[in-house]
Amino acid sequence: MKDTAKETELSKIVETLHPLERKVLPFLSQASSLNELMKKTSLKDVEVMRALQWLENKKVLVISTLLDEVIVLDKNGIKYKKNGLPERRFLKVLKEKSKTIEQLKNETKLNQEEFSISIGVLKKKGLIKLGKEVELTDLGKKAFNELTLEEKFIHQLPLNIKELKPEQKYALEELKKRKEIVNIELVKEKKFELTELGKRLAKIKVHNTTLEQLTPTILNSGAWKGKTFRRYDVSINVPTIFGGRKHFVNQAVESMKKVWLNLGFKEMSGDFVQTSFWNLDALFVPQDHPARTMQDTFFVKNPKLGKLPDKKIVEAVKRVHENGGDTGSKGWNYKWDENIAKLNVLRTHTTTLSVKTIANLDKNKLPLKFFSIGRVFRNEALDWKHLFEFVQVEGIVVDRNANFRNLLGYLKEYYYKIGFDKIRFRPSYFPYTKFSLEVEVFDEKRKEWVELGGAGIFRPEVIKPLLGEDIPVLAWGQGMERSILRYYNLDDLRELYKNDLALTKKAKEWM
Amino acid sequence: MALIVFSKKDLLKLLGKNISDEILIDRIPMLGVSLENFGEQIEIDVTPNRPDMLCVEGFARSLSTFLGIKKGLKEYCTKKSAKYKVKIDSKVKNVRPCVACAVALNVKLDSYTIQSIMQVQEKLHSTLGRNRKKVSIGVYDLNKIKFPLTYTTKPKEFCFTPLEHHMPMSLLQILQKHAKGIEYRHLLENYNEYPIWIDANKQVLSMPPIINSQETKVTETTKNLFIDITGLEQNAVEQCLKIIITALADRGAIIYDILNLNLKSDKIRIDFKYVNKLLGIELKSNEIGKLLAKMGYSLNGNIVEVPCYRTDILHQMDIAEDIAIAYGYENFVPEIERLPSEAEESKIEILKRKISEIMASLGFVETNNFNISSKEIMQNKTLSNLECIELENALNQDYNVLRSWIIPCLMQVLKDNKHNDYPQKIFEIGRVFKKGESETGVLETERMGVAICSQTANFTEIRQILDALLSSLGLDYAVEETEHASFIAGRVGRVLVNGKKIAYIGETRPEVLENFNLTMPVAAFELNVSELLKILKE
Repeated sequence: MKDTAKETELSKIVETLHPLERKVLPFLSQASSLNELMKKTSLKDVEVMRALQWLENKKVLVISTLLDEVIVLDKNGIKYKKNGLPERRFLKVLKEKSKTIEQLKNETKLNQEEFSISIGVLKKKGLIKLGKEVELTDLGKKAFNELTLEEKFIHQLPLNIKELKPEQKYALEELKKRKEIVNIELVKEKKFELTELGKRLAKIKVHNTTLEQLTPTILNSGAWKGKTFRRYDVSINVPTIFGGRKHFVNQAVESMKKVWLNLGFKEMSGDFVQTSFWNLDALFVPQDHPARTMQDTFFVKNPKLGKLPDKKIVEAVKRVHENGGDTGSKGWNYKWDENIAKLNVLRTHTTTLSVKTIANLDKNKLPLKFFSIGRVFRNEALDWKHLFEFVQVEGIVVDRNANFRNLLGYLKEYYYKIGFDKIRFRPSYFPYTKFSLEVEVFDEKRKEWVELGGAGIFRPEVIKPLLGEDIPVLAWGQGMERSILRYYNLDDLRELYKNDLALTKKAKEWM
Repeated sequence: MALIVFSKKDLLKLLGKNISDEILIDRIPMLGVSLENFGEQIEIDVTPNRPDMLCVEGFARSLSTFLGIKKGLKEYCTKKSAKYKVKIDSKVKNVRPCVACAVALNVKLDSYTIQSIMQVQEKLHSTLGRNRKKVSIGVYDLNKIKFPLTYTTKPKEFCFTPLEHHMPMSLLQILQKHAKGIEYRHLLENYNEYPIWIDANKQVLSMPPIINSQETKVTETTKNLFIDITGLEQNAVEQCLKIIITALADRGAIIYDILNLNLKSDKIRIDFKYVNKLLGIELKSNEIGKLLAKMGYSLNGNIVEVPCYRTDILHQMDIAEDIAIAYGYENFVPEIERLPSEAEESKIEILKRKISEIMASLGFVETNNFNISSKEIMQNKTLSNLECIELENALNQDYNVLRSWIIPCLMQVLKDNKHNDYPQKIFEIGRVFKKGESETGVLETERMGVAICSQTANFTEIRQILDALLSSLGLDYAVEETEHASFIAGRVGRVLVNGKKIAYIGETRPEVLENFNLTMPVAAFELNVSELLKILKE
């Protein structure tokens, strides 16, 4: 690089310097660690650290972390720093004259442990003599006016173990033998080294002429005129913030709803608690069907029974179950019991809404199209692939002229709109529809067809009792949770309703 | 749904033709059978309407016509013989009245076919038989029994040696000690005598619907079979016998009808116009005839002959469906009708969406809880006395009632999120349930719960949120003092719009916070969204 280019580079860096960086800059060549800089700049450690990190980003210096063993005061050490080591108190009491052990014990007020240590230490140093009484030696008398190595050491802490002088090493060894006076801690020390660029930068005398934050005062006074603003490093990360969020399952529901509305469907909504009549009987599901058992469906304890609708509908449904009534069907050939139909349940599918809608529609307004997206309930223990409550999506088309090809046509369009363009229709079975089918998509990863949802045309045994005539009703539906799992790359259904606020906040928007 | 396993070799033998794997993998699903596994062993999932496919023989029969190897109705004939006589004692009427039985001669059994028979027996028991309640099946070595047989009942002390045992046990002992007895004894509860099949030598065949006897057990040397079906519904009983007998006949057995075995086809009239209109295509009668032949039917004029084992055919629409399957769902050209469009979102859903948008814009995170909750959090932990709707068959204590208000669910969420950053501001819109005048006796209302949990959460802060929400909906409101067990006295208000109570708002009592292990204050409100909709409509 040519000198002029280097100059431009330097001055550009100078323009970006944050006030903290400016503060540490003059000391960079005189220091090599965070601690030293703290002492020299009187800044807090976080401030120095931030300045160093920013300077490192600017390639002014390189930070390295060293693990150091540092000697610090322990519990007793802190006490002794304030009150003096026990042996010092011992010496003080002996200053005037020799004393018996008993006297010493009383006057020094040391505990047994401190007392014996003091004797040990002082004897070892040759400062006291033990006889009938304890007395100071000459050395002891001399020592009276100077601090011991240990005492000096306590006042010098904290110290880096690598930087100890011989007498400090001695003091450390001695104190380590005693209880909770010193402790050796592992400390991370931040060191830094200036780069070539940094060395040149450190030589420059930086005048602070740039503006930091633009404020109303500066604006009003016009003080900004003729000045430049400190340049920011626009590439660095900022602290994360989150706004309010809609729950991601509800976002998915809303976007699904838009698809239906765009297809011209009208929304159905209704109660979660329904009589078995609407949940199953009206759908031609026989009363001994496994779906009616406690293992499959939630029943309400109180109020246990609901009311049946209009007698005409009830009679027609009863006949259709027993012998097919006037539908041309053979029926299920058993005795239909209205008490079973009265049992209140948590709806097991939104098809309940569809039959209620069909029962109440105005035939003069046909053709009509309806959809619903709502919670349904199944008596399943909660695990990674089962929920006892989940969201079902469902649509119906009531049209005298509707046929099977129309059903396939709607399915093709609907699934195209929700993102599946390669689908197939496979014959299947549902108790209340004919031409029942599963819509499947080819999973390229697993190399197999995967079910998306079910469809069919309602049986005459369902429609005729409700409408008085057999009008084709196309119907299709699916659960929502699996596609939501796929979108969020999750594999546990429980994650959807776990309500971990951190995850809900972070979840990407449904698109 | 029922899973059936069989060997590919056996399937191909029954089909009578070598079919490539590619064709099988492609065609089986299009017959309406879900292919779960394909290899030397094939696993299929049979839908409840087709119990005739619960055995490999029945499945192969349908597949063979579907693939065009065979065509049309398969006729079965049965013989009668004076040798095979059974007596039905009137005593069975009170316990297990319905019965049908037959004999199959020249059955070639090996360990695979015995397993196969056991599989169909087990699958029929669990599906059509409603776990042996409606129907149960017994299969015996014909050469080990002596006609005439009697279907009767015997008292509890009566003894015989049940299957897999070597010593006689009394009927009562069987119910108390035998694994099958324990599993199915609820089916014979409250009876003094139990059903028994017994032969001319007083040799017991079985104790329906519990267990067969050891002496009449089928082995690999068995050549001839006696089959009985008993149950509570005659139709289902006869249907089961048809499925098993046609399967054995397909393997070359000679069939003797003893009681209630009818293998004659049924006849259903179809209306070609009806079929074509439903399918949206124009099929001529001969084309319909060909398609029906692919599904194992025969067509004479407009009368369809339905094979005896297809008891799922209730209506000509069922036949129309089979015509569509034969035509191939993949061959229909999808066509959408352009109907006049009346798209409409429900009013309550629009309001809920608007409110949740406003709440999100105020910095609140939406939660999503189940409607099924626990009495513990609805009442005990919140100190509330709101009545809950209880479930008859609750999963467990954590999920035993329908929620009566939303705030307890929010408190639970806050409890589960103590590891996350504060402040926590959350809301949820959902159903609450109480008793009331309605079709079911349950009244359902849409409500929103809102909670702030932070160092400084207080009445003013939560009231500001309510204020922002209601003013953005263009509503004036008033707050009057009230009492609520979950909130601090003197810091809880009732919110009124046009004089109607639509919300309560306050600071949560420390006792409640403690019950949810919360160490931060919570201020909350709960708003009746359904009521709000009524007010907005006015």
